[in-house]
Amino acid sequence: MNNLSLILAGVFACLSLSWGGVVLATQVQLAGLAPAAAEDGGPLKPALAPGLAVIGKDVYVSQGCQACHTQQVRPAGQGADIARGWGKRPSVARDYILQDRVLLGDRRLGPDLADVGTRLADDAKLHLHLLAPDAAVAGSTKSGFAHLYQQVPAARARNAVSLPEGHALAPAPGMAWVPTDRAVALVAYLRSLRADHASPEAPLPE
Amino acid sequence: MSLAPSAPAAERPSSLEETQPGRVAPIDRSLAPAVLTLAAFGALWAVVAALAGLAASLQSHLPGFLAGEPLLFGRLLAVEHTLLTFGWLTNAGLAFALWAAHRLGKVELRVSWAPVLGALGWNLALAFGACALLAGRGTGLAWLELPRAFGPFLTACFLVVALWVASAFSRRHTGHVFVSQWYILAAILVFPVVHLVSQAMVLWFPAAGVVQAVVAAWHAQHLAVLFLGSLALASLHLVIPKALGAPLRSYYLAPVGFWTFLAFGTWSGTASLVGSPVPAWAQSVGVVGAALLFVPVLIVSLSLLPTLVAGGPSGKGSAPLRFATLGALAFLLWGAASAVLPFRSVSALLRFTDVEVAHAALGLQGFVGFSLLAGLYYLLPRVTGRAWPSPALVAAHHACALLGLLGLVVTLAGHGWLQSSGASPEAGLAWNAAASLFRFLLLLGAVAFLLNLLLLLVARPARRDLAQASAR
Amino acid sequence: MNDRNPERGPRRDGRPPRRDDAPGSLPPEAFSDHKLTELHSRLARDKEEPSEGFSSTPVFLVFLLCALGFWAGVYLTRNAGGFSAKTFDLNAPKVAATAGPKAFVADPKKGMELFNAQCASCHQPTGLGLAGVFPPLAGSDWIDGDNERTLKIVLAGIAGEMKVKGNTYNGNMPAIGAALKDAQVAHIVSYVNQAWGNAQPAVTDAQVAEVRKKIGARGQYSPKEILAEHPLK
Ligand code: HEC
Ligand code: HEC
Repeated sequence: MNNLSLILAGVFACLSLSWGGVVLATQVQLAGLAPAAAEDGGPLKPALAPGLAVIGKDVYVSQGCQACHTQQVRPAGQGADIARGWGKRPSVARDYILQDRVLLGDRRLGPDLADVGTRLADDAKLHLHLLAPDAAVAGSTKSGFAHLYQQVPAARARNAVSLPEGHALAPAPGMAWVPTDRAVALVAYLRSLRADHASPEAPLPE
Repeated sequence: MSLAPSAPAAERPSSLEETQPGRVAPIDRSLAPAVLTLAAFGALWAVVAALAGLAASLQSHLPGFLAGEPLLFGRLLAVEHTLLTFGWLTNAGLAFALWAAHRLGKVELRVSWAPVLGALGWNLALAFGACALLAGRGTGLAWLELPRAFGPFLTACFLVVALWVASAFSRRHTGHVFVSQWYILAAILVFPVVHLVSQAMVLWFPAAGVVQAVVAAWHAQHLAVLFLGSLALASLHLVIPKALGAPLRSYYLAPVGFWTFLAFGTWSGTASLVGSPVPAWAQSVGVVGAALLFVPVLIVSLSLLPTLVAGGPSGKGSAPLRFATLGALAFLLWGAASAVLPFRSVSALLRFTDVEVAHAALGLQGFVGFSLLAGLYYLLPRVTGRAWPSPALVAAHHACALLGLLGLVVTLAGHGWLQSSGASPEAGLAWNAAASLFRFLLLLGAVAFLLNLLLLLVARPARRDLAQASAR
Repeated sequence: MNDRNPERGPRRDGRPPRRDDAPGSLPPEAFSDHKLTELHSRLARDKEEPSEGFSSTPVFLVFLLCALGFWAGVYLTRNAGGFSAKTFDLNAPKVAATAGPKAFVADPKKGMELFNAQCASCHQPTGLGLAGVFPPLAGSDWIDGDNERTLKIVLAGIAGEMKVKGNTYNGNMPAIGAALKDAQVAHIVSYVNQAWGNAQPAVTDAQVAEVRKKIGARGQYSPKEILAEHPLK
């Protein structure tokens, strides 16, 4: 162990081996994946996300949503994700191939969001959840994202988010909360997160 | 020490030190600018990271606390993680690596402004990076949080410091290369290679789909274990025998420990992807790597811990030894947890919960942090030629760090256990509040260290006799 | 491992090292760098020639490593899903292999998605086409229940002058269906047959397969040719 070049070479060899064996090998295996139809000739999935959702993804990242939310449904034997209603089938690699940044996430302080677009297919509910989580979920421990909303005179308000009577964030009289562009894009992104289609690697349960 | 009698007298010609008694002091003095710059920034980032961690923790049980931009929960966590790893731990590790490489090589640092420049560049970029994270420019990926433009510059600054470490190796005077030097060498090679490759594959030329997640996991594990972990082990292997005045037990096993550490550690990255949508074989490879990593943990622990125990009370009062003991214990615990957590039956319960956060804290703040603190507590007085100005602050730091980390790990693990049982987030509020308390303790500890370091820096200039004392 | 180095024995005075954090003074190093490396250099060599107090590399370690290597191999062969790129869930029931052929049922939802992806760029999602360029499918007199004609158009394409709902078109439709699966074509044509007020029977994947076989590999139809085979009703 006195030959430093040998030590360096050994370290480098270890790194290259694991890089080849894990990183390169998965790259070779998965690089060819393309949108595909599930067995019976259905439409090709995953589909490209609409433009607004692509913008919304940047909002998602910059607001730090991934600190509390994952986007991966684990198989039934490995965690209660499916039992909790976070998806009908486990996520598979093909679901992510059209994403330029994959946000699997590694911590769950809130529910998984891989299939939130089917679970909460309602813009109003999503906006309410972001503006005032405690109004959407009783006893929520989540800080709201009120800075993504603004108050405008109620007469001019389109898509106003209505809060329950007497909520702490209730708008000034004659005013109403409306989503800013960022909130609109973020909700479009959340709506685009869906895993309700069968995939060749993961059929939907009957 | 049983070896002493067996050393044949004839094999004992006068050493370099005996003929030139002042030799160590010039080495230490030549290192001062670079090492002190790194250590001071490190201590500063440790405080900022602890602050960010505390703020995020408070938000988790006081919804609405500091709500709104820019102090969002996710951004605070990104700042905490970046400043903890690249700020505090990397700076401390590089300071130790520079010092140890020159001391063990018995050479002075040449052109000392260059590593100082590298250190300044690294830390300036980090300051800007932290601001970018708070402004919401982060990437959202663990260990790769900083916007991609920072990567090449940070790596270049790192390389400047690393080259000066490497030059100490190439100019070294001694024959035997001590175990700490192997680990340092491994660390300074791992960081640039792995960081650049991963940045390229995730941020610059994104690989297809979940391959990104595989790269990110590979990257995170290499930086945590093979980069920071190696630096920490280098520190433990050096500080323990030096501060105790006794050689390491089972030193003949050190090469086995070193190579198994590298060979198994490098395959353990995908252990953090068990259950994820990556091919099952890749997950299993990670599980095997993480489980086998316990072998080097055991081998190294079997060398360090008995040495500490045999050292007995002589080391009780010394700050480096107290932190080294904590670091070595945290290493063993962290290693055991790392080997168990990835197994599918365990991961099914505990993955994504705060048990994983506790595990990371035990590894980064416990094993790596405490081990490098041992190194800094040992080397900073020698580099400055002065003793620590305030023993009270040392004691306070030790107490806060020990209590804070122990409490934090226990409360996070408790909260994680609660999460795994499917309890509502409300049920965890008390645990989160307790975690905040312990994070506050950790912050106090970090402040105590920073203060003591600043006092050390502004204290009276060294008297000659003190400088010489450190030479003996 | 390097015998040429000067060696130095351990401290002989036996003093315990002093506290490092004692204020004001800096204690001498308990263990000089030189002594450290020399002593450990000797300890490293003891591996080959064990001396009192230090055992040789424990045999148990060798055994342990072998046993762990064996375990790793077994674990990997059992839990790697055949190193397949398609196995994510080791417990997944192997449905695909055992399930028999399923009866085809046209799914309007899939039909719409496929139509929007494959045809709507020309015929528009509304099925109304573009005046003078792409003929309408909604209410088209060509969608008259003769499914074989529609399937032939979709599978082989069509080019030349044709009349749809009284307007003349002279366009070129490529062989879109050639690249699609039978079931996909069946979903699309069933959708076209039943959307926008069209009311014709659905088609099955078996019918598509039959037509595909019948026409073989051929170029686009001309309207004249196809009307000769399948006159409008
Ligand atoms: C501090 C952690 C935290 C952060 C940050 C966070 N969430 Fe949540 N989220 C939660 C929790 C906890 C819940 C569970 C419901 C509740 O308690 O409000 C939740 C629930 C949700 C739900 C409802 C899911 C369902 O199935 O009911 C959506 C949608 C959601 N969050 C979106 C977001 C978005 C978008 C962001 C980023 C702007 C975000 N969250 C940031 C913690 C967080
Ligand atoms: C590239 C543009 C294009 C695409 C895509 C396309 N078509 Fe056509 N289609 C045409 C044109 C042009 C004609 C008229 C050809 C002619 O004038 O000879 C036509 C004619 C037809 C006709 C007969 C006329 C009528 O209006 O009833 C049918 C049926 C038809 N297309 C169905 C489809 C279906 C089903 C698809 C999707 C699988 C499809 N087409 C995709 C361009 C297209």
